[in-house]
Amino acid sequence: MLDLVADDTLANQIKEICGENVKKCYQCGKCTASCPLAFAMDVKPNQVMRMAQIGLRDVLSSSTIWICASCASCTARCPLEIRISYVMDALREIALKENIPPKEPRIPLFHKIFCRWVGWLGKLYELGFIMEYKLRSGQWFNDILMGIKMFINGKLNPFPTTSPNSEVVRQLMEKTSQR
Amino acid sequence: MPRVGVFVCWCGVNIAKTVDVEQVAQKASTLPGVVYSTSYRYMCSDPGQELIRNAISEHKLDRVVVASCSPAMHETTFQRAVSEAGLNPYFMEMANIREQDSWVHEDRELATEKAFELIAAAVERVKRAQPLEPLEFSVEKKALVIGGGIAGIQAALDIAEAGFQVYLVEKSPSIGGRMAQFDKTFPTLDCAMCILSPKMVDCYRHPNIKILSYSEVEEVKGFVGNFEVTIKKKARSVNEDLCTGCGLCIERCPTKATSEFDEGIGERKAIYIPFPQAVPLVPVIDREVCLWFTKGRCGLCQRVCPAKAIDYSQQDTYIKEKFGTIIVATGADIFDASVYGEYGYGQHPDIITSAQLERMINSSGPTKGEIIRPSNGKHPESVVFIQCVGSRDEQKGYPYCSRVCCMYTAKHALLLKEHLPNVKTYIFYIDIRAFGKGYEEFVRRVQDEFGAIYIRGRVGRIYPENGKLIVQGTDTLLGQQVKVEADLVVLAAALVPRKDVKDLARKLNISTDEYGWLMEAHPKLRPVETMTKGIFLAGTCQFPKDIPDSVAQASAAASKAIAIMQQESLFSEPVVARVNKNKCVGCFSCKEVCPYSAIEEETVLEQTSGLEKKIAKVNPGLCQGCGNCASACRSQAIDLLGFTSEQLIAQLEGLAKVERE
Repeated sequence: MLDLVADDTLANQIKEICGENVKKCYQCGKCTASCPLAFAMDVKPNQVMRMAQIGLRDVLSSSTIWICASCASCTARCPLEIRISYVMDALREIALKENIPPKEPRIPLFHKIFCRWVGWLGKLYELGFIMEYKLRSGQWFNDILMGIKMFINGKLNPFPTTSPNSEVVRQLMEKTSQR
Repeated sequence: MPRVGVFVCWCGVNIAKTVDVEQVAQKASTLPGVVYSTSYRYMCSDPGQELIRNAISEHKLDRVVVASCSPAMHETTFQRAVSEAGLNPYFMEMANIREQDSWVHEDRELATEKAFELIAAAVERVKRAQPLEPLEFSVEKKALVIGGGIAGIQAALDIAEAGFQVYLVEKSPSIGGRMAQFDKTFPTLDCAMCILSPKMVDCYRHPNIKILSYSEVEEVKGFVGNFEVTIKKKARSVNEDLCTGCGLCIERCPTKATSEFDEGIGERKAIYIPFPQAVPLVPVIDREVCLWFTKGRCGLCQRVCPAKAIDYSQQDTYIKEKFGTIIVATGADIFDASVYGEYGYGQHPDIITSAQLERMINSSGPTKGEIIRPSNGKHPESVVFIQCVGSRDEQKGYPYCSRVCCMYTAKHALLLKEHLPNVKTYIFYIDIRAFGKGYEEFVRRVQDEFGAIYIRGRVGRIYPENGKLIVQGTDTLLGQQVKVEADLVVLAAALVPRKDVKDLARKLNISTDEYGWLMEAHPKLRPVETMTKGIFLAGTCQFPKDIPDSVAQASAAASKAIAIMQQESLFSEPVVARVNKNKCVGCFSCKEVCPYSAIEEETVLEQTSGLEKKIAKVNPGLCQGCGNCASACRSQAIDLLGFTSEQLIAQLEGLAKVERE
C-alpha cells in the first residue's frame, strides 16, 4: 500500500522549470484520450499529472516521460489549459538532472547524440549520427535495409556538410545545455 | 456649537484586543465639540443602543459618533437608535475601528492611536452634517415580467394571484420556454408539458395577466415604482383577435423552414405555431422565408383563412406602459458544441446535442418520439453520451459547472432504455453532480436498473468507421484508453448566457458577471434582487438552474415585487447628488459617468444675463448615491448629500490635526 504524504516539491520544481501548475488538473483524462502513444506508456498522461500533483517521484522513472513525442495533442485539448507537453519536458529535465536511469535509455541517448552532431556542424550529418547511435545503442542491424534504400535514393549524404551559421547554432546549443 | 457624543464599541474582543478602548474613549472626550464619551462591550446590543439613547437625552447631544464596525454592518441599527431618541438619523456618523483598524493591525499602541484619529475625523465630519429627510414617491401597481419560460410564468402567476396586474413579455411566438421542449423532467419523470401547460393556460386566462408574445422590451426609463417601458410588438402578420387557431393556413402553406423549437432537427412551415399547446394559439409568419414577403406571390394562407385573420400589412407596434417592478426571466442559450473539432458536432449527422435528443424523444417532436440515427433513420443500438461539453473548460468553453447536464443525461439514458430496451448506453463523465432531492437515487437507478455504463473520463476523438462512430476516450479509473462503438453520440452542451443579454442588461441598468449571467445583489443574502431597486431575477438568466430551482426563484422574485407594489408610497435614501444651479456650467461630464442614467437636462434662466442655459439635474429616484458625478464635476457644482465636500474636507482635517499635535 502507498503511504501517501502530500509533497509539493515536485509540483514546485515543474512550475519553476516550465511555469505549468499541475495542481489545476481535475483528472478528466482528455490528455490520455487524445494521446497517440498512450498505448505504449506504462503510466498514462493523466496518471502522470496525478503523480506530479501528490509528489510521487516514481513518475521520473516511468517510460511515459521518454515515450511522449511532444505532439501536444494533450495540450491542445486540455480543458484547463495546462500545457502537458511542457510538463513532460520538465519531468525529463528533472530526471536527467537527478541521474535517474531512464526506463527507455535509447531515447535520451538518441537526443544526446542528435544534439551533439547539430552542435558540431550547425546541422545534422545523418550518416555519422546513425552510425554513432547504432554503435552506442547496440542496435547494430535493425533498420539496415531501410538505411541502404535511403542511401541508394540519395537521402544520406556520405560526407558531412556544415551550416554557414554553425557558430550561432553551437552557441545556441551551449547556452541551452547549461540549464 | 454642536454637542457631540462618542461611543466606542469593544465588539467583544474583536476591537478591545488590539485597541485600548477605554483610553480612546477618554481621549475622545478632549476633542473640540465632544461633550460625552464612553465605551461599551457590544454597542449594537439592546443595552448598547439604550446607552446611546439615554446619553442623548441626558447630555443633550445633537450629534453622535459610534466607533465600531463598518457602516455596511450596523449603520441602520445606529441610525434607528438615534432617531428613536429624536435626532435626525444623518446626525450619526460611524468610525470604523474594526475592519479598518483592529482587524488589520497588531501593534496595540499604534492601533489605539489610529482609532483615536479615525474618531477625531468622524467628529469633525458629523459636526458639519445636515439633517436629511427620505424622499417619497408613488408606486405603479403593475409588474413587468420579461421572458415567458417556466420562471416567468410562475412569477407572473404569483403576482397576479396577489392582485396586481402583470404584463408577460415573450420574445418568441408562444410562452412556455425551454420546458415546453422537454419530454420528461428529472427525477420524477413527470411529463413536462402535462405540468407546464396548465400553468400556461392559467396565465392566458388570468384576468390580471396580459401576455405579449412575439414582443421585446425596447426601452426602459424611470426607477422603482415608476418604470416607463417601451415594448415592441413585432409584426405577426396574423390578427390575434380574429384568429381562431384552426391551423388551416399552416396546412396549406407551401414553404418549409428549419424549426427553432425542434433545435434544428425538424421542419416547420413559413406560417407556423411552434408546438401544439402554444399560448397564444396564433400562428406567426416568418417573413424571411414566406413567399409573399420574399417573392411577392402565393398568398395561400390569406385565401384559405376562414376568419380573415391574415394581415400582410401588419407593422411593428410600440406599447408604452408604466410599471412598479420588473422581473427578468430571460433564460439561457445552449453552448455551440461545434467549437470542439474532436467531437465532430456539425460534421456528422449522428452527433447531436442533448436538446436535439430531447426533441426526438418528445412524442410531439419531429420524429414523433422515435429515437433514430439521423443519417439512416434506423434505431441506434449503442449510444454514447459525453458530459461537460462547454462547461468545466477554461480553454474553449466556460469554467463553471452547468449544473443540469448530469441529471438530464441520466434522464436521457433512462428514457432511451424505455424506448429501446436493447440499446446500450455509455456515459463519459468527470464527476456526477446529483445534489438535489431524489437526484442521487435517480442516477443510481439509471446505473443499477437501466444499465447505463458510466465511464469516468473525457473523450479525445470521435471518428466514423464502417458506418459507425468510434468514440476514443479514457477510463481514468482503469487508467486506460478505451474505444466505444456508437450509432449515436449525444453531447451534453452547457447552458450559456443569452447572446443578447448584455443589450437587455444595458436597457435595464443591471449588471452581468464575467460570463454574461445577470448579477444578483448579493450571492447569498439577496439572490433574487439586482443592484437596481425594483428589478428582480428569476430562472436561468442568473445562472444555470433546474426547474425546481427556477420556480423557487421565480416565486421569491414575485414576493419581492409584491412587497414593493403593496406599499402606498416608497421612501428612498436621501443620500443623493444635488446640483448647485449657479455653479453648473452644463458640461454634462456627470451624465457620462452616471451608471444609473440619473442625470437629466434642465433649462434655466441665468440670473445675471437673463439668458437660457442648460444645466444638469439629478433625478433623485434614480440616483443611488455613488458619487461619480460629484467627483467628475469640473465646477464643483455637485455635492452628494451626507458626503458633501465640506464634510469630507473637515474629516480629512480632523485626521491631519491629530497628527500635528
